[in-house]
Amino acid sequence: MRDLSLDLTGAVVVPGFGLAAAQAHHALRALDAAYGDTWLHLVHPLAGRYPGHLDLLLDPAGVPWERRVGPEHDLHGATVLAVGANDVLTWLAVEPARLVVVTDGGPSFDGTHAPVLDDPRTTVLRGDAREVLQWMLAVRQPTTP
Amino acid sequence: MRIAVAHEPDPRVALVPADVPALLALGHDVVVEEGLTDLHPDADYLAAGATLGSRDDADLVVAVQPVEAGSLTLALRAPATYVLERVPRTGRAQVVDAVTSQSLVAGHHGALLAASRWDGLLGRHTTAAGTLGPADALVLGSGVAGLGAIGTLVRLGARVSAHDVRPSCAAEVASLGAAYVAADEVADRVREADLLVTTARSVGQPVPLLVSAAQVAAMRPGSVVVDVAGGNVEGTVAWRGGPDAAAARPATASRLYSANVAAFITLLTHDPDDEVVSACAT
Repeated sequence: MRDLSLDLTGAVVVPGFGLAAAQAHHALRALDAAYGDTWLHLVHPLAGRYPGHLDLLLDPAGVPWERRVGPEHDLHGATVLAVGANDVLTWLAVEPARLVVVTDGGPSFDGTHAPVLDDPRTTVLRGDAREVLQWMLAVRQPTTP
Repeated sequence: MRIAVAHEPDPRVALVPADVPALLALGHDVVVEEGLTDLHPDADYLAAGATLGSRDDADLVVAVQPVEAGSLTLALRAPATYVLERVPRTGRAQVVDAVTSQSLVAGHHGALLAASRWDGLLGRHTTAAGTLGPADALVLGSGVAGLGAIGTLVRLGARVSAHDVRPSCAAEVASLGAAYVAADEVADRVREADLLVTTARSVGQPVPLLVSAAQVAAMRPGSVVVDVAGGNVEGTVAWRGGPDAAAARPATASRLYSANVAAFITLLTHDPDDEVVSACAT
């Protein structure tokens, strides 16, 4: 697994079915806390397998409602962390400054493939979402002592 | 286009006042039939820019149930010119997917109804007088209605298991924190369930009978059976839904259906040959 040297402070998380399938919501919240609660969580209406799927998991994980945004949120210039959400990326038409993708390589809901996944600047972390997020937490270096 | 919103026997309404301005902005006129719905007074429609009138001189009549009209019609099910039930299950089409929006409401309603009729406590409670719960809930069918029911019961603290004949559903059930039950275990789980919520229904297919009257009779005393799909369970149940189960929560079902209708009209206005529009056209 490659080194994750980029700073994810202030990132926008885009969670998808892969987060739910791996039951990685508590691992996501732990990493969110390690970045000082600076993240926003973009819950797309099509994310997951039914409306409300991702909120169902982010609620008990303790991701506060006030840090959740919808698809209207402007990602231009943002650092985006997509977790098991390759299909959501196709619907978002993302143009973030940095994109980190956590994916198990599973098929998207409707067979689409986001072009941004092929962008050489995109960092792809392949594996089970919970294991990858736990690894990201383990290698995270505090930015302030 | 002159778009008429039909007065109909269904407690839902096809267009709510909040979605009128978007249609006006597309250059359409919106006409509502007098005394349209108990959900919203006519004055709210007038304030949103609609006018009172009849479907007779409309170009398109929008409704939940199929309606009689000389013009184009849009409804959830056939017969109608545009049938929202036929929306393809793609990401792009989700905004007009009325099956999803209505199923979500139906599943949520069925789960809450079962939970409220159940005398016990839903989640586990360790008390000085003994430990209560968790309730054992079984959901059959894990489409949108089933997933909505599972999610609601999980939130309430029940121990939820579910089965669907489609193999891909095991991962989806697990993704909500529920347990997938294999086909050969379903009968045992039915007998042991405190709450049974059935949601197995596919568009254009007969509703499958999953649980016999004898199976219901063999369930634990006090157990609650809700047949959201209407036809999954034989005999007496606490509530039987059907294709219009979402009408049990008419305001929310209408709000969502109306958004689907407005999105469909937007697609139709921009491109009558749009793939989603074409899929719904009869």
